[in-house]
Amino acid sequence: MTGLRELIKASSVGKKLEYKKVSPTLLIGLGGTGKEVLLRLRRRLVTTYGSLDELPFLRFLHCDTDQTRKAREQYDVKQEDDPLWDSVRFRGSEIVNLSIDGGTSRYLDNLGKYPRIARWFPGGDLQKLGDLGEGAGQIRAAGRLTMFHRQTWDDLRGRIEQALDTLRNPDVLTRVDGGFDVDTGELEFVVVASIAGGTGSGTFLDFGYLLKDIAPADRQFGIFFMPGFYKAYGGADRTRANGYAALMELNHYSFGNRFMRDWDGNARTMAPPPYSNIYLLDSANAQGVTVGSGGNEYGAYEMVSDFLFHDYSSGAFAGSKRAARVNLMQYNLAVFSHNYIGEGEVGPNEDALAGDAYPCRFGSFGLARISFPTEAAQSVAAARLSRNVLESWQREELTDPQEELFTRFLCRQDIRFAQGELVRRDGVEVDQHHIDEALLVYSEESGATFASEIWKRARELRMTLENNARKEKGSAFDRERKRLDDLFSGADSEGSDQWGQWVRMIDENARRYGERVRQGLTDGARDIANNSQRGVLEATSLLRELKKLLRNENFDYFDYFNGEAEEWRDAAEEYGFEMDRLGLEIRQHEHAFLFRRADLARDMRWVAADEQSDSFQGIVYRYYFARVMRQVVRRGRWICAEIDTFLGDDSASGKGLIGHYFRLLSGVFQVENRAKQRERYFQKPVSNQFTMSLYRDGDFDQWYENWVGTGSSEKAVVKSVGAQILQEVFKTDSVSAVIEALRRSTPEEIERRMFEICRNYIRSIDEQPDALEMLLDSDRADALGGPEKAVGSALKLAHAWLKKGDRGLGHIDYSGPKSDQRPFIVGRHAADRRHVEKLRRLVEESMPGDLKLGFEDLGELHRGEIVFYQELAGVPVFYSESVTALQGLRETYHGYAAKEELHTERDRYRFGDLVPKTQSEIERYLEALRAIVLGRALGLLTVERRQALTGGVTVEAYEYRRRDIVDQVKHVYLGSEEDAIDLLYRQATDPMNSDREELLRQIDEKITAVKTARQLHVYLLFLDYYMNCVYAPHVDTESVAGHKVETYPPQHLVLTQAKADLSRYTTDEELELIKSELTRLKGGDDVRLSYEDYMRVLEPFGQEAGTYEVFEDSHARRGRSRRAVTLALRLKNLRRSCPVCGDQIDIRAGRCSHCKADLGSPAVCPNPSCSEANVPRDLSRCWRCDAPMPGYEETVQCGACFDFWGRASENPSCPKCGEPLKAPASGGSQYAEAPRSGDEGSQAETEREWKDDDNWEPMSEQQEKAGSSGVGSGTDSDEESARDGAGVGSGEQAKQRAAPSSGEPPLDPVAKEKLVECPHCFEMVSAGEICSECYGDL
Amino acid sequence: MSLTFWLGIVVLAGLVWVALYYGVYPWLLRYYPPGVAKRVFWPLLLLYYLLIMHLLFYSVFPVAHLYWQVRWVVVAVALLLFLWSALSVSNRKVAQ
Repeated sequence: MTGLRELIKASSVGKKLEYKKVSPTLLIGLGGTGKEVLLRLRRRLVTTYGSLDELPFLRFLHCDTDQTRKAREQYDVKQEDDPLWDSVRFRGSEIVNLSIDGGTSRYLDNLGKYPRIARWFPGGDLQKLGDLGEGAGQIRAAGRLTMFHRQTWDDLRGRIEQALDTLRNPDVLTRVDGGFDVDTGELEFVVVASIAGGTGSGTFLDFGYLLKDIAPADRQFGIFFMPGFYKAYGGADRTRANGYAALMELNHYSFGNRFMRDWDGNARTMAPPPYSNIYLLDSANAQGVTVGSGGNEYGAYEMVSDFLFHDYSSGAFAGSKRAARVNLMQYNLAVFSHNYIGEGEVGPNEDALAGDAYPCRFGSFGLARISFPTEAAQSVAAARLSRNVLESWQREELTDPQEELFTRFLCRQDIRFAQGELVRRDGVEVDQHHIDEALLVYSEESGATFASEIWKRARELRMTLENNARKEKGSAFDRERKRLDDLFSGADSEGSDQWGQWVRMIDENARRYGERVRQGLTDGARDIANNSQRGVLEATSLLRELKKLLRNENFDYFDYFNGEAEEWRDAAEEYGFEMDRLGLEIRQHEHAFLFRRADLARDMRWVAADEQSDSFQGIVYRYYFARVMRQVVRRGRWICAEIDTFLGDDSASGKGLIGHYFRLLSGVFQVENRAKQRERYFQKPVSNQFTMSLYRDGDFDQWYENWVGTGSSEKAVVKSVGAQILQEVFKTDSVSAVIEALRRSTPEEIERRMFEICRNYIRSIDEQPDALEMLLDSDRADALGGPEKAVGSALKLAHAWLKKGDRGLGHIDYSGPKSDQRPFIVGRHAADRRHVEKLRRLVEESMPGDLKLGFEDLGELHRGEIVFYQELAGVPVFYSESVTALQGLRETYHGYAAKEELHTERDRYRFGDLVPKTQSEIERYLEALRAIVLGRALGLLTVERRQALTGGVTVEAYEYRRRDIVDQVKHVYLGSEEDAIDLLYRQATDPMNSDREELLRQIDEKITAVKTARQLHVYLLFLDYYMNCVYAPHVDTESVAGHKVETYPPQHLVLTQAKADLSRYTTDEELELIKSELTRLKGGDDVRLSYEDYMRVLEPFGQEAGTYEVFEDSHARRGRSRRAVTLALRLKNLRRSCPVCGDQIDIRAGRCSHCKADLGSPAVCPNPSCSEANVPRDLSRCWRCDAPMPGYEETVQCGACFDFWGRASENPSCPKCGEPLKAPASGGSQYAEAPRSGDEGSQAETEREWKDDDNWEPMSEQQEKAGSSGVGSGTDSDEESARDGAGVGSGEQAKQRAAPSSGEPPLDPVAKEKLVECPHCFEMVSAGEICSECYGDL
Repeated sequence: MSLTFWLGIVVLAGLVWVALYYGVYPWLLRYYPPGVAKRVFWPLLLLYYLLIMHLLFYSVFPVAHLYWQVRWVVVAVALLLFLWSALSVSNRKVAQ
């Protein structure tokens, strides 16, 4: 019975670190879980510090395959309802898209072209996942595949390096304020992921090594969620199996095993571990408290985000928390070993690892809070204050905008645009024609209008006519009229250069007026908007009303001018006729005798009335006034159109003044809506399992009143903060200029800045919520069941979220972590010493006695919360209950059919089980190992390179032969070495069907046969060779701990045991003899052979049996590997060619089993230490000790008939043809060596013989090819994989060395008892009187 | 017929002319175009003269008593004068 032993013992540091500075950190979230945690962390940072920019020592990266919108937002906060979304969401530079352009099929359909993927890809139908844009579908290999996509890889590495450049930039870090103490010399990485799904679980290992590759000197922390959090979701079994597979891989690479990094084609191995600290979070904690799933796991996300948040906070608690991690790091270095193989007998030394290793690199943490939502209360108050400021800028809309517009706004001196009549609500009629008046201005200096000027001119004309002599009045009238008409020349022309003076003047008036009105409207609206009593809403309302007024037929704008234009045109035409007639009448009258005086007097009155009156001013006046009015009306209409255009559409999309104010208003509305949304958002009561809230309904309103006040004091605050906002946010004093600021930035940004100013104002107030004070306030704590219960609950929740399992580990002596490995820290703000003492008493009463407890100050900023924190370090991965529990990860994994799909490695067997083996498992495992290792060494297993089922690469596959119940030989395919070990390990004990037991039986027989062949020394040398080369122990340095650990592969220990077991087959004397022969074979007693030496010495006795991986030690190729050829014992090599017929016979045979020839009596080996009695005389050297045989005579072939082989001394003449049989002249026959075993020709024959003998099916061409191409050597993995892909194999060398499958014929267990060894030919034949092979007597 | 008689006739006619030409005609011009005023002026003048002439037949030349029809002619002329005058005055309009 073996238990766990501390292979590397964690040692206590002399002096504990009390405070650690903040390290610049890159936080990486993988998949959905990583995103959730990081978004929550960002949310809390933004809520507390206002912006992530306040913490430039933090950089974020979110890597996910899922590119859907839902995968970008926080699961429980919809983007539309999230006022912090813009601040919280990942920026483009913080997102790495892990999908694969062109789909996974671009790789998976052509795995042969991508050896770096084919090397690890375990198979599975991933093509259905397309480009993985909708996630990795819980397939870990799919997640990992994205790391090998060139574009993703470049993007990822670039983003990480870019973030590191920023974090290493001292200029960036000097911007830090807020009390942070940044350690610029040390970077940290935090990777957050779930190990249950596809993306995070598939990539977390690669990310660990990638970060280590990029920044080897910095530290990586991994926070991984166990599958328990996802049990309420679909595919829970899959998540558990995935989780176990992920933990197996993590455990494997955390100690003693090197990781192959080959994302970019630059293949090399990297030393463990992938992460300096690994935090595993399970759904149950040390106190048995559980977290639900199906949305309830969000509490755990919050907890982790709080954990990270307090890492990046200022204050003693944060420093102490960070220091705790450093202090606990020593415990992560501990490694348990489970040396279950012959411990104390044939096992390694005390410090070596021979068996399974269980690194204690895993830990966990728990964090719970009793808190008042101070940040929420501040945010609610700030949002409300911000909203009040905005409302103060808007005010109420007018009830009667038309009257206000017509009687006040349009009558402003700088506008004067009222045109028409309006009866006010008080009954007063207001008649205004500002446009007409403005256009009829003749001279602003003199105040003359066109009307007065025309009157003046008409009077002058009358005077002129009256003063003219009789009979000259008519011509004078025409002359003067012509002069006046010239003032209106080209009036209907579009070109202004043709216009008469008065037309130009009127046009000038119109333009000037239009300009003035536009400016007046702008100024007027701005004045109203800026007026704190009126506001933007009123300005907008008036402008909208003016827009309507322009089209209102009751007022004199468009409709009026359109109507007037016709009237004045008609009038001008009519008066034109009148003028013509007047001219004629003057001419007639001045020439008449009768009535001349009266008629001329009447004509003069018609030229200009005697006095200006409203009724009649004379036809000249009327005519020219009509012409002026025609122009005025035209310009009036033009002005209306201009103002209409200037006002623009009555909507926010309009380009005019209304649109401006609409936008301002809508911008303000948007800002206000954002403020409302923010207020609503923060008003939601915070509820999660890990936060006990001290909040009561009405608290937020109460704190708003405390901070801002009510009534006049609130107004004063609103006014002062509003002014500050105008100055700081909008850089102006005017509300209407806000729109410019809104144009420059988004409402979200404006609202955020306004909110910040308001929140800074709130925070500047001394009175703030104090969680400790509230907790000890009995009224308030009643909701939590009283302070004692609240503290007790928080302490329970704060225990590390990894529950110790109590199942299945009874066979090991693991007592669990010590109290030093799980310290507890309580963080609170030490405002009142009495309160602090009370809290201490409460905590100590509720706390289990064996925990190390510390109290630290959270700092002023976090006075609204009390934090309970525990960190656990240095536990093995099987510590967690969920791993070992019934229906836990392990059980689900082992029950999962398609295990290949769960892993991110083709060879899943390299990842040992996470739970130490039981005694029966150990026994079965050792038997399986023994069956495979010795089966391979003894040549019972054939090793062929076969195309993997998943395509791409070839793998070395094992196979052996056995006879079934009807005595038929069948091939049993065992798969790769790891497959074979696993297969045999899991087979039940069953003598009839168990391959493990069948192989062990064959091994036993083979060793007996070897012994019979007196080849045990060769067998021993093979064991040595396997122990020192194929399964050699290796020394690796733990990169973090710096420990050197000598690791013995279990196969090595099995070989050691096999050597020790040799005594079962031999007596002590025989053993001594064997050892001496071994010494002779090795060339010395303590000679240490190299691989080449072994190959040279063993080649005559061996056949190829696959390859093994050799890691390079040279500096230039460190981390790379190559494969070397492995040999297996080949008893068939102890055969020779019959000197008569040339067929293969036993090396000791005195009779040929083929031609039945008597080969003569054997000689005795002259070597005294050998004295082998059965050395045929046709051997030049003893087959056993290789000593030269005296009296050896070569066998020669008859040179005449070529039909006889024999010795010349025994056959002077050829018995076949009678010709003399002569020995070769010199140097022996060219065939002297040919009959010797190990020759190609004889091997081929041997193989035929085997096949014929056993009626085996001939090897398929493909198998032959695979067999011959599978023994590459001396290549690094790249080259080898490339050749594998091309199917070339190891070329000519391999072909030359390729040995046919051979070995002892499998023995039928039934027929075994009947077989005996013939003393003549040494073949195993059926017992009887005569040997069935050589017909010699038995 | 004495010269005085004839002189008296002329003076009376002149007085009527002056009254109409300098009094009535300018007044008419205020309300009628000159053409219309003239068309009013001349019938008025004619009716005055007819009326005066008939009255003379009663006073100066007492022959009218001999013919009872003359009396109705006077009444008719007077009536015409009255109607015409009334029509002119009542139909006046501002000459604009």
